[in-house]
Amino acid sequence: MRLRLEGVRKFFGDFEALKGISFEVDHGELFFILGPSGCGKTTTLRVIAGFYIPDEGRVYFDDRDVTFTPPYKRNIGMVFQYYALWPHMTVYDNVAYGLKIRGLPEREIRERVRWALELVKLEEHAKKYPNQLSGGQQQRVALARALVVEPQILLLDEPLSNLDAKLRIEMREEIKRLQNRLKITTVYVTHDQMEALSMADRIAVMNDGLIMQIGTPVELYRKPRNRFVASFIGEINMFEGELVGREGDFAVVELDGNTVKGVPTAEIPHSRVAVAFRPEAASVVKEGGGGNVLEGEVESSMYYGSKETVFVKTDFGMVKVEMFNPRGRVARRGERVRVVFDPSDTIVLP
Amino acid sequence: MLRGLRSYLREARSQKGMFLLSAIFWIFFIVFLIYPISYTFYRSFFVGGKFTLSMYKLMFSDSTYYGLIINSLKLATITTVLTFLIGFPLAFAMVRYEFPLKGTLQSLMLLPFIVPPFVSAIGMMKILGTYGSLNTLLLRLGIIHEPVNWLGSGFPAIVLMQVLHLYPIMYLNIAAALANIDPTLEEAAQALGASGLRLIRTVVIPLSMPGIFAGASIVFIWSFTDLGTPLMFFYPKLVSVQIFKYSTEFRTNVMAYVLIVVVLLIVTAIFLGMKLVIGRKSYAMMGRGHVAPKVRRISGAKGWLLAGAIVVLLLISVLPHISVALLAFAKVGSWYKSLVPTAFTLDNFRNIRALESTEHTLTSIKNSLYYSLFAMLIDIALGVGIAYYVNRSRLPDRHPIDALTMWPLALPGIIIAFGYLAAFHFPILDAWRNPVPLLIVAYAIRRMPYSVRAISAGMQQVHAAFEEAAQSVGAHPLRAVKDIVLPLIVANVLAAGVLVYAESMIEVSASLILAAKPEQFPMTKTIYVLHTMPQGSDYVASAMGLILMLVIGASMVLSSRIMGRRMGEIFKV
Ligand SMILES: Nc1ncnc2c1ncn2[C@@H]1O[C@H](COP(=O)(O)OP(=O)(O)OP(=O)(O)O)[C@@H](O)[C@H]1O
Ligand SMILES: [Mg+2]
Repeated sequence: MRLRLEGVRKFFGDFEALKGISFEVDHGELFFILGPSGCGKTTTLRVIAGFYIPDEGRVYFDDRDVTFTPPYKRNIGMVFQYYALWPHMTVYDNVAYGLKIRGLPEREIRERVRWALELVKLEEHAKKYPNQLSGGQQQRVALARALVVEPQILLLDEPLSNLDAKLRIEMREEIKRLQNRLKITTVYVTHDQMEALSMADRIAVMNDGLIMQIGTPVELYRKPRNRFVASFIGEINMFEGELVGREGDFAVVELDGNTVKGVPTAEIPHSRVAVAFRPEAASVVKEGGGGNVLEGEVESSMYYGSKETVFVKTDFGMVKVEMFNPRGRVARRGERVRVVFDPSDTIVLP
Repeated sequence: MLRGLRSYLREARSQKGMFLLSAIFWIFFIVFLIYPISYTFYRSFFVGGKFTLSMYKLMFSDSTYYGLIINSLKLATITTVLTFLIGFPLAFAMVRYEFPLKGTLQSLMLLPFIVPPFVSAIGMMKILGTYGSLNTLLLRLGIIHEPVNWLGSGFPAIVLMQVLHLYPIMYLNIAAALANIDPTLEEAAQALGASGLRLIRTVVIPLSMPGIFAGASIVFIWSFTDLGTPLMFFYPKLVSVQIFKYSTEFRTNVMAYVLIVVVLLIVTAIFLGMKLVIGRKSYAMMGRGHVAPKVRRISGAKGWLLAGAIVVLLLISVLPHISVALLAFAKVGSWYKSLVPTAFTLDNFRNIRALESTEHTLTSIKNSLYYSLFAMLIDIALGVGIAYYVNRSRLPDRHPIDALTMWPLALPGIIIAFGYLAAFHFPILDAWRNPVPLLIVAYAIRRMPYSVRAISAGMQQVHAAFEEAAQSVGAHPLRAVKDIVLPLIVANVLAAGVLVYAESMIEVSASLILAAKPEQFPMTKTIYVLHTMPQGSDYVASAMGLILMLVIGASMVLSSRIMGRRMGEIFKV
């Protein structure tokens, strides 16, 4: 099942929560919606589920227009942030409910519930009530309940945000594994970028009711097309500069007397640009070095074993550098150093 | 604006069921609340189809009319002050001190509020009457030599009965406010040197104002519009009694409408004023609900003294009820110039049957059981529907509907009943020909706020995601409500049902005003009619009163079992 949103807008009173959202999710794809709190992720998901009817725009499942189809006719599976397990039903009854609604024979219901509970490794807990389960187990029941009806689209709203850090990482793998195995079109909402980067086929980054960029994790991390995405995902050093020319694929930017080169990731309409590079793409040297070079004074330096983090004060601001597998301390506080980074690891943003 | 409208239409489209629900509520409210009240207003201003204020002029210039209002206000004021004088120390003691028997006493606190003074007035008369228990006791002890007329004109007796009935409401509201006061505020005042009564006057009372106002306004409105108690003491000079008398001449007597409008305006002003004060005051309170008040332990003799005082208070408040119970088993005429009845019998209960041919006593029991059943069903339907709507709907009329639902809290029974009597003369709803449907609706409307509150308390625990989860796996919204919501609120629905049932059984104003034919009387009206008859009927009336008290007691126990600690919440403003 393919999913497509076209120009979806949604108002709450006068407040525009979605300002024209369009994207397409391929069959079997694990698609993420990532963005800060309040940006409209849940609203988007609820439009897909049918709990909200958009004020403008359309929602298609394959080529079927489902914009006005009520949720119960959409054949979706949904996992809610707080799981929403029904407290008066056992695990078995929670999972079986969707099948009972569909009027399946008792035998088949039993088999399919068993299949779903095995899928999430909860066979032994069928007779328990939700409040007798741990957070992770409840999460799995919610997943089983959504999957047992063989939905065409699986929707997950921050499914892991209520779990502790360790369990969260375990469940990431578990969900990824399940999704891979069932090849079910999935939209997964989160504000945790690590979750998105590590699991997603593709990610839509949202901000303030708009999609800022859609791409694979690598594309988003390496080639963010605007400042929001660049700074929202991972850490980045970013400075204002002026575009002064081109050199092949590279843009040449004047940074307060320094000239650096970088790859533009989007159309650049005017000469005011931002130059950005990741802390791990740069290194600190005492002298020499090729590519882009910025000079400055070491503000602080911390050694973590696997890496050394150095903050260098330059004329136009602080630069963070992370050097992995350090053989010894590179920089000491107060030293004058050069920050070097490759032009192909440098991006130029409008 | 246009966008707002469009988004409303979209919303209505995505919530068709809600739209339908809202339409049903509006029809119900317009027909059974807005229309009869408006009709009453209309009749008070239009005489012979022409607008006139002459009736109002007459009312405010003739002391036989405005005197009624003033006398009723006097009654309500005295009752309110006295309930405060009992309720405040009581609440203070219960919230701030730990003493022997506290838990037990706390749970018995609502007891006097359960049975309305209408029923227990008969018992009170046997105690305070000229030849009643108190005089007998005092004569025997030689303290007095002539019987004293304790009941006086009836006015003091009404005050007494109302106070004994209503102080728990005052207590409940003040206790809730006291429990919410941030103890650090008091500590700060103590650090500045305030203590004792001064601390109470300058810090505690101002801070518990919301509770005091809430309690006082309920008590005031209740007392001001009480019909049952004055009727039982044959005291006529109150506006409620006058309206009752006018109810047989509602076609022609415009003054009735004028009195009702004035009463309604007074009551509304008090209610809204109270809401305003509470709304403003509660902002001033810090850490509402997050702080545990400091509880001091009073042990030894002092503690027992406090407990003893409360026990005495409770005993006095239930004395009339006990007296009714005694009377129910007393041989006719055996409670005369004696402390307690001198001979006991079951005849009074047998006579409920024996009187059937003349007074429809047995029928009235059946009637009450039926009427209350239907009122309960209506209130359960309304309660579930409105609680659901108010908690779930995204349509903009949620707040007006919520407000209309709570309106009957500030709408005296006499006004609803008179409104129905006057306004409904249609083929299917005719208050004169067949008041039964309207009587049932009046019961339901009057208790609707309690029902909605009780069920809403449950609804709030059922997160919308529970239903959405059901819809997402394919359940139609109605099916989701049936499978998911209803099972989760069933306890609240039961509690609401039991509560409405009991409250309908003891309803007085609408019963007295609307029920016209003896074969349609509910129990309360029969008790009243028996009470107005010659000596002897009171004994049968007491037997019926006892039956009522038992029904009510049982249902209160049942519903507070179901609702637990949240029971008290339902009776607050
Ligand atoms: N029912 C509603 N009525 C009014 N405003 C709403 C409603 N639902 C959401 N909003 C507003 O719309 C915006 C987007 O909300 P949404 O729940 O989609 O955010 P989100 O991205 O899921 O955030 P979070 O990460 O905090 O869950 C927010 O500003 C929110 O306040
Ligand atoms: Mg959200």
